[in-house]
Amino acid sequence: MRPTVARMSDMPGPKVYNLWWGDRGIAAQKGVIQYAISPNRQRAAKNMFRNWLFNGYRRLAAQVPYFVVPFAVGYGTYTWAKSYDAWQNSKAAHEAGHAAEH
Amino acid sequence: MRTLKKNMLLRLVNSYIVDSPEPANISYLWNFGSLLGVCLVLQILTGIFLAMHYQPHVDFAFNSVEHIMRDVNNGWAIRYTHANVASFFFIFVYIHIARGLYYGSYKSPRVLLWSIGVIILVVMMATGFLGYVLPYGQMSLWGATVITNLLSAIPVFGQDLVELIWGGFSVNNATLNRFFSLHYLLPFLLAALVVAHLIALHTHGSNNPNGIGSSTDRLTMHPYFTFKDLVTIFLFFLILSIFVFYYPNMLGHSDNYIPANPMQTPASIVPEWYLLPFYAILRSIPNKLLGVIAMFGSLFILLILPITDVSRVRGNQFRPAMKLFFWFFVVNFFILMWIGSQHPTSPYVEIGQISTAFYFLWFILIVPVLGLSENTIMDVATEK
Ligand code: HEM
Repeated sequence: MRPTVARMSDMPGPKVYNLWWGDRGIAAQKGVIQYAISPNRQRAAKNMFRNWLFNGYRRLAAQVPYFVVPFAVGYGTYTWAKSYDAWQNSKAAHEAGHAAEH
Repeated sequence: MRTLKKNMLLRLVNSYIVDSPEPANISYLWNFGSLLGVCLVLQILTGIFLAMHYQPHVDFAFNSVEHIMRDVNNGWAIRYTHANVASFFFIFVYIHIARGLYYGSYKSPRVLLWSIGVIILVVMMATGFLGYVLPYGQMSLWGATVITNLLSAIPVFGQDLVELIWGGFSVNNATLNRFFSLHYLLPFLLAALVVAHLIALHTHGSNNPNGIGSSTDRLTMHPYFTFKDLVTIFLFFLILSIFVFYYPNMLGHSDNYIPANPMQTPASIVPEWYLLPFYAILRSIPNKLLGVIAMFGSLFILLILPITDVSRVRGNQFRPAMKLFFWFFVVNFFILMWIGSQHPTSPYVEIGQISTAFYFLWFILIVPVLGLSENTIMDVATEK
């Protein structure tokens, strides 16, 4: 990278992946029109909480199959190790000749 | 508006945070970069004010910190903010990296961006470790003793190197002084690395959840993402305040409120929570030198992902098998974190060893094999 890249990098060249507004290679920008309704009539947060709850739930639920098994295995290991450790340090384990080494 | 685009320096501001074209579909997982920037600024600011009252001397360090807590106006708030933001810094960096892993942000053309990130991570850990030594409590002294001693595992000159770092024959006043000096210096190195990180990011632009080019669907950074970033910045301030004002010591270790005593080793020496996974990897290798290599290797192995991830599809959005293994990797990371906090006794040692093996295998076996198989299946399916 050339040291001057900081000054140049706002205008990507032919080798640069990040296209800037209006660059060739993306849909031609012509007749760009911006519409806006009056700020008094905009409802930027319409259904925000409902969407957060229901659509959020839908999106998270779709990922559940991918993380239940890993987290179940992890939690299982954690609880097993803790109970095994507790047993190892118990009187019962000492009597059975299974004392933990220290 | 014209000056914003014409002035030498302002046009940089414009091109980075005003007009910058961002993918329209980036999710909240892309907010952690700005949160990390906020953390760095907060740490430098609170750190400078702490340094005005801190004394880097073994006889005064502990008391000067108590002086900050009790006598300096709002000193308690400055110190607790500094200590807790350090933890949030790491929470955010782990999520930031996990986002990169999940969406394949490390893949070409963002390899330089990713590699600078890995260096940032290592420097962050060094800074965190050095800072923890400064209050000179029991954990400060003994943590420093354990970690610096690791270098003695280097053959031939290891012991000499450790004594050079100590400036003596154990952690002592000279060590505390140089650690303070470096703890002050490294955040500025981090700031420079972050600038490089942003330049590298800017060259190719952000990745997005679909992993495909997004040139046809962009929004300007301002106002869309400046305000979206502010949502999580305010949320961060809210949660940070709960910690600073109500549970300021929750993430710390109580032993660090005992002044450092070279004559008494604490019952167990544990590093800060964010170093635990790597500490677990270190301890799960019986040979000291190999353990040290594994610990550093577990950080630097992030650098080989652009090579070992041979999948033609960027990111896990459309790769169910990789999603599953991503979550196994995450859970394994938590397991390592927990193992790092346990005494090295029977079930924990073995679990740590299996987790360490899985950690490395994920990078060098699971990622490439899954990518290869998927590519092959795709080739077979599309063969005429
Ligand atoms: C002080 C620490 C850091 C700061 C301030 C920082 C800052 C940023 C910012 C502002 C962005 C753009 C916004 C975003 O995508 O979140 C970004 C993107 C990125 N960062 Fe970092 N970063 C830090 C550490 C790291 C680390 C440790 C890594 C990796 C090991 C990393 C890898 C990346 C990657 C790959 C991207 C592009 C992600 C994408 O577009 O999908 N960063 N960083």
